[in-house]
Amino acid sequence: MPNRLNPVPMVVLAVLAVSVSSVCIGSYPLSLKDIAGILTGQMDGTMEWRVFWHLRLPRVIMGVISGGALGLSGGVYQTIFRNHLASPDLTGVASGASFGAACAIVLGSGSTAQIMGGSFFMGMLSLVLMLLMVHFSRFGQTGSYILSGIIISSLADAGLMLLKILADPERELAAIEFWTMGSLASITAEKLLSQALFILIPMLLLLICYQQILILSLGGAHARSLGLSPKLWYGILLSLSTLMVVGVVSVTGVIAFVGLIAPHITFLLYRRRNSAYFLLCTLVGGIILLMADIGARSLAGGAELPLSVLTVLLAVPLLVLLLCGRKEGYHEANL
Amino acid sequence: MKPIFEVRHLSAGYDHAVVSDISFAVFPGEVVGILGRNGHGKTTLLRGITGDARRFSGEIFINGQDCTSLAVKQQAAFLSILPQRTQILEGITVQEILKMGCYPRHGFLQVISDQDQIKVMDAAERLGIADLLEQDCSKLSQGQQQMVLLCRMLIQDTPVMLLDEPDGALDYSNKHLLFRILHRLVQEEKKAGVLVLHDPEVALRWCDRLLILNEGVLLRDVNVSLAGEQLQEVLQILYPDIQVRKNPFHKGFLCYLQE
Repeated sequence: MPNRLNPVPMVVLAVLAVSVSSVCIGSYPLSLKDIAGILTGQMDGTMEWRVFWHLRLPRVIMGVISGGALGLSGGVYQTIFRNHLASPDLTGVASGASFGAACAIVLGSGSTAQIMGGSFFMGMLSLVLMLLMVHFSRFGQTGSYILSGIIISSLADAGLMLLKILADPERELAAIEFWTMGSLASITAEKLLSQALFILIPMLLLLICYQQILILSLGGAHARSLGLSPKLWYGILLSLSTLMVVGVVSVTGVIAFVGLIAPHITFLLYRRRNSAYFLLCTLVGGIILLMADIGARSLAGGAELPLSVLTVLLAVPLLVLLLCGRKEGYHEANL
Repeated sequence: MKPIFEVRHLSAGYDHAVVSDISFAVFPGEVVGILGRNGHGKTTLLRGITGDARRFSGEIFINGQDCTSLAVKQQAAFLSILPQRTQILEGITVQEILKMGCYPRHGFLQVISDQDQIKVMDAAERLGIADLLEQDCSKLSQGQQQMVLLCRMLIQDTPVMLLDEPDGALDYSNKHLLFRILHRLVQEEKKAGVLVLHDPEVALRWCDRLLILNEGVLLRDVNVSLAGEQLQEVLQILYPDIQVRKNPFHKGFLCYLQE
């Protein structure tokens, strides 16, 4: 494998470029001159100043963090499960969080705080249930995580279907559907601050633990031989990933495909798996989500499209390319 | 002389015990081969020793210290294993795999020292894989991957090394290179090597002692310095038609099945 150019600086520049575009584009456009004026304090108190600080900046930061969290957790899942189709949805946590949000909408008042709290609580409950099932499982590590994820996901989906039947079709059902397709439309500085630590601390820890992630990718016997308890470290890494995803989903709703495609794009760009790979998964995830958000706000006139529509539209060409143009780099058995 | 590695009354398996009441000892500088037919518990015995399979009873001692109750990290300082098959994910370089051998000596945040770096280079040169360091390990042949994993074992540098069919994917030349390096390393550094093998001729050429495992039970523990007739008698427990003759050209024995 020849030494190749480190793509991290270029991808960081791309994140900055997409972030600036994302700040500028929207129903109330901001120019680069406006942003310069706001940052230098020349436009304090103006409409542009309020749009920038209260709406656009929290939205862009949440977009980068959320996409980064989904991309990183996808990279971690695909590496430790040695499966290119693994994604954060695998543990059923997104379904659990959706069920929690639906409970808040149908059974509660449906306020923002209730939806966030409900989805966070149910997402965490899904994580605890998953860890308990794995603990008492008689299967191998990988199999138990996948099977318990399927059980939790199916259970939460059944609950969600029941709540949809009970929901008021005009108000509550629409709210559930919109939430399960993801959006950054309602992001505020308060929401961002409430979840930032739940997302950023696990993210940092996962980036530090790249060596453990790579060792686990060789399988349990190698991990144990090298002094890494597979049971303990599967638990730690999946809990951190899941906590991060719950933090994202409770604020943005369910966003499809970012966790699946960000690691693929990263590997196509870099073709190596080391510490930089996981950082790149994070940055690429951030770029995908910001691009999807720009599309969501600008493609439908004044209205906003759900994020998942855009992330799926971005993902499909890539997945088709991987499906039809795959020549090397992916083991048949893992797909 | 005290044994460096000792297994006492080990029973291990999964839902039920696959191997029962296994006891043997390995002395410093000794390579011990485990021979047995498919499905008779050789791999399970190794997995029972490492803790990958369930231990029902028994004790494992390394340098007189009971390893059964050690934490995984502590155990990795004493015991390393080369599993039968490894699927390496694409994108991981040979160098990354080799550096993993330093992991048991480091804390949570692994920082590779200059000394470790030298150790990695030395071991890679010793096994003839120094020019592969920047290669994607998944793109190498099975045989080359096996050499990389053996090299990682050398870097991990444990007193006891367990190898499960290490020659399975190796060509003739690499097979003998692997066994020569392993044998020399075990002898020079007074380590213990335990190998699961299928080929009795290879076992008689490279091992000092043979353990005959049949239906999960250790039937015989023999020294290969015995006469050919006695070794033949022992091997006929597993392969009734096997004939063992002294190799007239080299040390060791020639084995064949009588038609």
